[in-house]
Amino acid sequence: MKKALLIASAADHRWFAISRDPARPNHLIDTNEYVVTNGNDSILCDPGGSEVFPAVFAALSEVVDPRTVQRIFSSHQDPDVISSLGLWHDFNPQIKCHVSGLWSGFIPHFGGEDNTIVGIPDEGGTLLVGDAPLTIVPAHYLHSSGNFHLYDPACKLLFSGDIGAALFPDANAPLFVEDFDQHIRYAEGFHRRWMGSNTAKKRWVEQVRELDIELLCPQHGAIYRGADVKRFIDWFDALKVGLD
Amino acid sequence: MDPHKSGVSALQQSVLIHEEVKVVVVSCFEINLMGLNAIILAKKAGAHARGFGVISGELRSLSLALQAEMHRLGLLAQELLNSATTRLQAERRLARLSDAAAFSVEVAELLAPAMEKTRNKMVVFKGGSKFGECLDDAYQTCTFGLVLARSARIESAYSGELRTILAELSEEFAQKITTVLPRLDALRQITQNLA
Repeated sequence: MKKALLIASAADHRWFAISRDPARPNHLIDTNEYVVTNGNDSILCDPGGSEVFPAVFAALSEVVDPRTVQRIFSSHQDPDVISSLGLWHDFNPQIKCHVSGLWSGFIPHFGGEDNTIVGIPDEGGTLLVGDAPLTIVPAHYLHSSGNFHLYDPACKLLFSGDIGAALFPDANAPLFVEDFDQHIRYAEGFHRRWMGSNTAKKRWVEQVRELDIELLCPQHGAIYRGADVKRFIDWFDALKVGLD
Repeated sequence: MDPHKSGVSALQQSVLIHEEVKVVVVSCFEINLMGLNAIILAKKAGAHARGFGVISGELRSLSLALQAEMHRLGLLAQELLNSATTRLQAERRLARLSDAAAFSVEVAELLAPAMEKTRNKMVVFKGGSKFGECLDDAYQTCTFGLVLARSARIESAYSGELRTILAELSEEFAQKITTVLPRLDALRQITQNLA
């Protein structure tokens, strides 16, 4: 079963990472899910695929009452990100899924009703968890054409979807990056192939350099913290990706 | 468990169980801390309070036993969640297949094996009776805890200078254990149709 670990807190809200499932079948890519909670209000970020739903649901239940999850933030449309939506919706039909408006007609193929999806405009916006504002940061074409990240200024945490992802050979790898140079070898191939545009990458790098980030939390692999955040952004800035 | 019970209600049941279990686990932790505090106080009170110290140690062990029973319940709730998810996925597939099968007899015949396979995946949760066993154990532990709290109350009377404080502590033990009982009742209520 996955484990939920407290990774950040500020005032009344807390972030948990749900990760590392020793029982996960090898043919499924490993994923990290994140939940931010404030009193009776919780937002689940990239809830994962339908195959990992029981592991995510059980781990989340350890730290949060799942009935407080009223919203899902989906960075993009991939099945490992959001194909569990139908199951979450079976559990609570009131749950709203915030995702790029580009995908609002596609994602309901995973489940939900006509009022399940809240389309995010291209320029992003703000989500409140309790009374704490979270900034929706555009990350289009990285890798999806409609792609967003979520920044929490109070916790200095950026949920970065597939950016920062690393594919480890070991399912029990540490949740935090411990040795950047060793770690980044597992991220390089992924970023070169999956990130399609250097222009989009430059635009994202310029944006996030303006943010005060302590934790950069990807959907796969390990979390970058402290000095490793800037190290990663510099590395990504210098990396040639995609075809252009 | 009612074989016609839907995956959704089984999933919701697993949530209710889990939430009650979390409340009891917090109480276990508090009883454990109270027991530790009581042992320290009994030591301070000296030889007169040795009996009180022994009983407090037993109450700490009891809190760990109750916590272990809650852990077992948590694992059962996890099994229920797994089977509820499998059932939900099968229900979804079956609904889509049934929609497709409604188009014509030929399509229905073509899809019949897939529908049968999906129906077979609607697993029935078989661990229902274990919830009852686990709860019986938890009730017993609490009953024993209340007896211990009463013994602690008696022992406090012979505990020298600190007897008033130790009497209050024994009362707090009893109150804390008493707060667990409605949670166990709620768990019994939630799980009764699983047996």
